[in-house]
Amino acid sequence: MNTKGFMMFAYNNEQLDYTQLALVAAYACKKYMPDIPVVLVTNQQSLEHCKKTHGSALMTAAWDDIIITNPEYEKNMRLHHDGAYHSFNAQFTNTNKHDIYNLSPFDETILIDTDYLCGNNNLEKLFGGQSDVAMYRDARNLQMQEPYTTERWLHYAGIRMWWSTVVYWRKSEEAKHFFNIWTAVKNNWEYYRFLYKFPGTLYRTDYSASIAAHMCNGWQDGGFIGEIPNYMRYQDQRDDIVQVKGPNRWVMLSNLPEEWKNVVVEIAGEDVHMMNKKSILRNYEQIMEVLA
Amino acid sequence: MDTRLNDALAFANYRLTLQIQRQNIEAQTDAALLVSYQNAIFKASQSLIAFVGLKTMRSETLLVEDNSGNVISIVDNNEFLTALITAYDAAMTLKQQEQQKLKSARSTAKIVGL
Repeated sequence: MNTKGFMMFAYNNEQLDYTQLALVAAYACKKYMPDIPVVLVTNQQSLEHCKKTHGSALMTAAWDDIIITNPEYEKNMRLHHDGAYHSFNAQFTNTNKHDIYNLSPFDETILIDTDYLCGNNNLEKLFGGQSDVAMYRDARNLQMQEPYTTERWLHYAGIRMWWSTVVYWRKSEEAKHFFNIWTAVKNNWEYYRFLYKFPGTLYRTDYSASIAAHMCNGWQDGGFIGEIPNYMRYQDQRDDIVQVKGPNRWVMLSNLPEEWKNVVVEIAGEDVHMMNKKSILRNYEQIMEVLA
Repeated sequence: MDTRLNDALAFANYRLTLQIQRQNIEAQTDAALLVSYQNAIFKASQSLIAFVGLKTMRSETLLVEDNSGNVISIVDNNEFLTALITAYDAAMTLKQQEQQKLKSARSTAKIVGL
């Protein structure tokens, strides 16, 4: 019988406790898909911090296994926003995400980011599906609008973006090719940045996964990667949580650069990619209470 | 600010919130309509249910496209039909409840349940 499970990476930095975020994400997975194991990949330092601050009981309930890795330090500073009025820089350790293929103990794995909170059991429907690799292609913000062009295309005359927030794969030759190309793109980031003409210097796994998908498919769009149904709902880094009304029911503030366009929305029954990580941490107690 | 303009802008805000909330209910319903069957994902739409119902009634072989366009040969038509109807009914019940809540909301705060 095929083994299947969720996996998530969490490497703390001086600004964000990713293991705390991973606790919330794991609890959300278990709330809606209690039979699917969840495995954390972290480093020793983050693990120790987690034990000290949250305790073993909470960790045992969240994760079925913990894998320790110590990725080589590579400077990758990322500008984060916490709502509309506060921003900060922090090291973003995502440079070994492609290693998940070798780290996963499962035949079928769904890798999720620690700020992706499940609100239903739709992700488990990917297991045993028709695609060897699947990701989200489309996304909608709190106001149901499509993301900015730079979050949909790598370049205005370039390729479409796939979101690496959720990656499903089945151990197979096809998936192996995909992750091998992802690795090659990561290792030759400057070259691929020039070739695919995307802006910025931050290493983005969305981009490297998109390039791997494009190359695997014979340098053309579509077909190789399965699309996760519907679209990825996301809360922007400038948005915030107003109230936690239930395990999958949130009142949130959609903050646009134009203040007069701010609006409160209620999201229910959907998975949400909570890009404002500090908003999760601020509401940690309430979220854990409703998820427990 | 002029009271009349203030009221009009507050009303515009209410309409925007209402419209987004309607779309959110659609998104919630779309999520609830997904059915996993025979290693494929389907959307339990009225047209799919009607098609499966017709083929089942006629006891014919059932070939159906899944959400990604793969053709799936359904082994047990009745079981598949039941799965689709169950998901559809649950999603519509949910949608109706959410719409009812929205209908009685006469302020921006009420729309989002605050």
